[in-house]
Formats: sequence, structure tokens, C-alpha cells
Amino acid sequence: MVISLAAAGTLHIVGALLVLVGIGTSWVRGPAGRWMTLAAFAAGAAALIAEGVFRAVVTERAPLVGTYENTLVVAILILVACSIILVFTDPPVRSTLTRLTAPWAILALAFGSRFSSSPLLVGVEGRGLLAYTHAFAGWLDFTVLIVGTMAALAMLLNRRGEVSAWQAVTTRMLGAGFVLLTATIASGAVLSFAVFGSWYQWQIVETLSAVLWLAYGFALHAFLLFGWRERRLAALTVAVLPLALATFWVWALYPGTYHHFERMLGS
Amino acid sequence: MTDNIPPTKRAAHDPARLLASPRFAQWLLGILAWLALVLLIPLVINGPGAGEAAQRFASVSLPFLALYTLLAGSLLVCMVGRFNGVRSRVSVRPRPRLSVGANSVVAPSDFNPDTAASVLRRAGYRHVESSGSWVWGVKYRWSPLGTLVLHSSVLLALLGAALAITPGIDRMTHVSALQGVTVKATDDVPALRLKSLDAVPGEQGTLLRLSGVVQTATGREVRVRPDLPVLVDAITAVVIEDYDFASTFSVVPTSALFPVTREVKALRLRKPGAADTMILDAGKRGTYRITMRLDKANPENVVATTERRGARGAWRLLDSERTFAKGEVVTVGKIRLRFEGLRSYAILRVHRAPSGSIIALALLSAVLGAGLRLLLPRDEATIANVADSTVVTVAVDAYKGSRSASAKLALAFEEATW
Repeated sequence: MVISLAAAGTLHIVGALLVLVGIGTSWVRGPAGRWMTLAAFAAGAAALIAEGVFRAVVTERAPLVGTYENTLVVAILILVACSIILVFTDPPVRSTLTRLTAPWAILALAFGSRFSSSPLLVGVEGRGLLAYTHAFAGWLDFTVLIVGTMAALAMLLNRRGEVSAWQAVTTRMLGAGFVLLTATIASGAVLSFAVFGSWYQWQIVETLSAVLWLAYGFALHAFLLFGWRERRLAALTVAVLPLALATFWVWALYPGTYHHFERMLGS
Repeated sequence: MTDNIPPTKRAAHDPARLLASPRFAQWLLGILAWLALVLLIPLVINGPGAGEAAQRFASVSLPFLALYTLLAGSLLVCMVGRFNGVRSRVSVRPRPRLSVGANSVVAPSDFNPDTAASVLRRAGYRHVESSGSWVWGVKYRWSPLGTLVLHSSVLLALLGAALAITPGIDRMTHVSALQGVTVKATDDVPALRLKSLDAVPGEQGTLLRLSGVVQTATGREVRVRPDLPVLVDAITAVVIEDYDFASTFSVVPTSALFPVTREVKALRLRKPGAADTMILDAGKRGTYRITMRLDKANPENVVATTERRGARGAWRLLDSERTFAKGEVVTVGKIRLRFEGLRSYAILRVHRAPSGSIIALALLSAVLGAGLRLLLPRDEATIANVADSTVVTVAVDAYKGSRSASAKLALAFEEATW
């Protein structure tokens, strides 16, 4: 087990280095830069996925418990998102969105490294399909919202590319993010009912999630009903980002919630 | 006086119009969001204990109840007001776009209605209509209904929450279900029989696997799980929380004058080091207290300390830390005790909760409604002959058009033509 976890730790470092290489090559112009970046991200994602598989084999559960494992999953999802952007979007959006989104993978890994990498003990309620669905939908949602927010940021910074193209990415990511946030909250509510006998508890994660749902609901209404477009919509989307970050990560830092699993290194 | 108020101002003061305004509903939701954030402050400062008070305040205090009522009214009026609009948007009546808009793409080939219709069908447009100068198709036509489903989910959640906080409607009980024995905790809870139990303990008292099969009074068998409530009837959900062991001891008679006294007791012994106590009332032969824990070497045995109640009620030690094997008869004091073994039982949590079904329906509606509206938006495509040019226009309902989709369809039209 110790050998497996040491190998997994090596993969973690290799994955992070490859992500850094990918971020560097994303500034190289032309098809060469694009393919080098894609290759680096794919290799980085593969290394991190291998680490996740190692941990899953050792712990006999999905690697979705504790900050270290969750940041690993987020980094993988962001790399997958960047690869999709590189393959499927048009040139003006492609490079800028990749450069803005990919550093979030490094931020996630850096944040995760502040916490212990030892596998955490979790009971049967945290091992079921519903618990995994809840956590995975949440991180997929986080990734989608980060991509949408970075597109909004690019629109605000008036980067290259048509505004309509940036707006299309922002609104579609907001739409998909809202659906995933709804699914995360719904699966969390069912899990909370199963484990605690209550659909909702006045805890920091649940309450911030509800407020975030209302905030993104407002952003969608602003676009669909009130005619908010371009910079105004982008400013609103970027303004919600701190709330999204607080909602998705507060459990790692604030111990007064049952979402909190572990201690930071050195504390 | 009111006749002198300009129409717009009168509209603003008309309660029905105010309730029908989405902006008003947004304001209400905004106020709710801010209040929720403010109520988080005591939680952050004072710790999790402050959460219960905040939850109670947000659930039953008059200002919040007024806000929820106003919000429900506003949502309902908004939904009714938009019902006809939604109904017309799910129709398949052709609405071809016969002008060149921002999302239009001009295809170089000449317009051919048959080719255009086959291109649309191949692109997944279910309903395709054509005339001499245009072909129109639609897919995901039901998507606008998602708006109603999603907003209904908020109303359902409010209704479910109202039922949940009304005293006497929802009930929760814990039941210890010994394998093979039918249990019925209260009159309004259905009788359940634990048929089988599958449990694997982990380290430090955690569980790696736990599930069981319970049989209802109608003979239906359902698998109960710790992470998902399972319905045993329309309003009763069951969750398996834990499992443990029940111990059976009997006092073996020393003469034919005394009957066998047997006692079965559900105990908390599963977790490492846990000890629990059972009382064995043997009538004239006395009352005995047996405190036991699982034997580490053989978990089928127990290590027990036996005491007898004295005349003044005090417990007198008879035997300390003796290992009992299954079926073994041991003389303790003046009696002979037989340990008949351990049987596992499940701790079931039974929710008799009419609100639960409504809240579950609300959650399901929210996911389905949001998914239908935002992941599968109604998509209309027109390939038309406009001023001797073939113009392709795709209009995606929720996202206000898609030039890239128009370009893809124009390319498909070109390929089909050549």
C-alpha cells in the first residue's frame, strides 16, 4: 500500500509538471503550439488518472474523499475541458480560453497539496453510488462553470474573437452548469435524507449552494428574459465566481460542517 | 383618483401585475439569498450549533413565511401567465425565417427543397415541413415545457417544506429488526421483516458494506441501503443505518419445578471495544445483569460479567470477564446460564413522511426541467430561397441562435447537393 501511494505521489508531480508544460506551450502560435499543448494536457491527465486509479485500488473506493483527492479530480476534469476546447473550438476562442482555464488545474493541485495525501477513512454512506454521483456532478459542474466564467472574463477583457462567440460559450456553460448544480444539490439532498433523515440542514455548504443556485438562476433569467448581453452578462458571471469558489471549497477550510473530512498539513 | 394615474404607474401598483412580473420574483429570490447569507454569519461565528436556530428561524418565522408565500404566489402567477406562450412554443406549426439574420449563413448551391428536407432529417430534425421556397424543421420541441417543470419544482419544494414543518404530519422512527422476525414500530408504520443482512465491518467501527432485504406485509421484498431511502409504500421510506448483535441467554432449570427463562436482547456490541448490558429476570431465582462484549479471538463468543440483584436493589458480582461460547452452560452463583448465541439485527430508520414524496418529486422535476430547457433547447432550422440565394438559419431557443450550427447545416447542404 505504501509503495502504491508513493508511486501515486510521483504520478501527481509528473501530472502537475505536464500541466505546466501545456500552459507554456499554449503561448506558442500555430498548429504546433496547439498539438503540443494538447499532448501535454493529455499526458498530464493520464498521469493524474493513473494516480486516481492507484488510490481507488488501495482504498477500495472512488478517489472522491478529502481535499487532496477532490482537487485531483478537479484537475483532471479541467484538463479534459481544455482538451475539448483545443479540439472543438475555433481559433480566437481556442487559445485564449485554454490559457485562462488551464491554470485552474494547477491552482487545484496546489490547493490540494496543502492537505494530507493519506487516504481518509469513510463509512458506507460515503461509498455508495449516490455519494459518488453527488461529488462527481459537483466537480463537473465546477469545471463547466469555470470554463463559462473564463469565457465571460475574456469577453470583459475584450480579447480577440467575436463577442458573440464568447457569449455563446458563456451562456451554454451557464446553462449546463445550472443543470449540473441542480443535479448536485438534488443528489446531495437525497443523500442527506438517507444519512441524517433531513433533506436540508442549515449548514454552510448547503446554504451557499442554495444561494449559488439562485445567483446562477438570476444570471440565466437576466440573459433569457431581461436582455442582459455581452459585457453586462459577463460582469455578472464573473461577479458570481467568488460565491462559486466559496461554495465549492469552503468545506475544505471550515471544520464546522459534515462535508469537512480532514486537517490541513501542519495544523 | 386612480383614473388619473398613468397606465404604467397603475400597472406597478396593481398587485396582480406585480405578482406576474418575473422581475418581482427575482427581487424576492434576491432578498431570500441575502437573508440566507446573513443567517450564515452566526453559524460561522458560533459553530454548527447555531445552524439549528437559524434553520428554525428561516423555516417558521413570520417574515420568512410571508416571503415564501409571496414567492409561491408570484411563481404561480408567472407560470399561469406564461402557459399559453409555452404551449405555442411547443407547436410544430412552421415558422420559417425568410430573411438573412445575424445567425444566417448563405450556401453557394441552388435551393432544392427535397435535398434541404433530407439534410434536415439527417441532422435530427424530427418535424420537417416544406413549401416551394423554404424547408423548416424543429427538434427538441418539448424543451419549453422544461421551464414550467423547473418552476413547478420550486413550488413543490415549498409545499413539501410546509408539510415537513407542520407538526404531526411527518414521523420518523427507529426499528431494530432481528433477522426473520416481523417488527412494527408504531401503528402507522408498516410491518417489516428483515429477510437477510449483508454487512462487512471496516476499521474503527466504520462499515465497508451494508445492505439488507426487508419484506413488507404484502410480501414485496425491497433491498434497503444506507445511502438511499427506499420506498416501501407511497409515503414510507426506509434506510438501513447500521447493524449489530442480539444476544440470547437462558437460565437452565435445576429441577422440573422451574421453567426455562430465556431473554433475547438487541445490544450495541459491533464497534470495537463496545460493551452493553442485558437484564435477565428469572422470577423467584432472581434478576441477573450480564454486561458483555464480543470476544476478540472469536466474535461468535462473548466475554461477560454477571451480577445478581440483591434484596436492597444493589448488584452483587457473581462472575467477572468469563468467556461464553455458543451453547455453553456455565454455573454462575447458584444458577446455570446458557449462552445461546448472537444473532445480527438491522437498525432501520423508517420515515412516514408525506412531505418526502413531494420533495423527492420536486428534486426530480428540478433536474428534469432544467435539463430539458437548458441542455436540449428547442432548435428550429430553415433552409430558404431568399432573393435567389440559399440561406440557412438555425435558431436555438434558449441561446438565441447559433451561427456555427447554421454553418454546419449549410456545409451539410453543400455536401448533399454535390
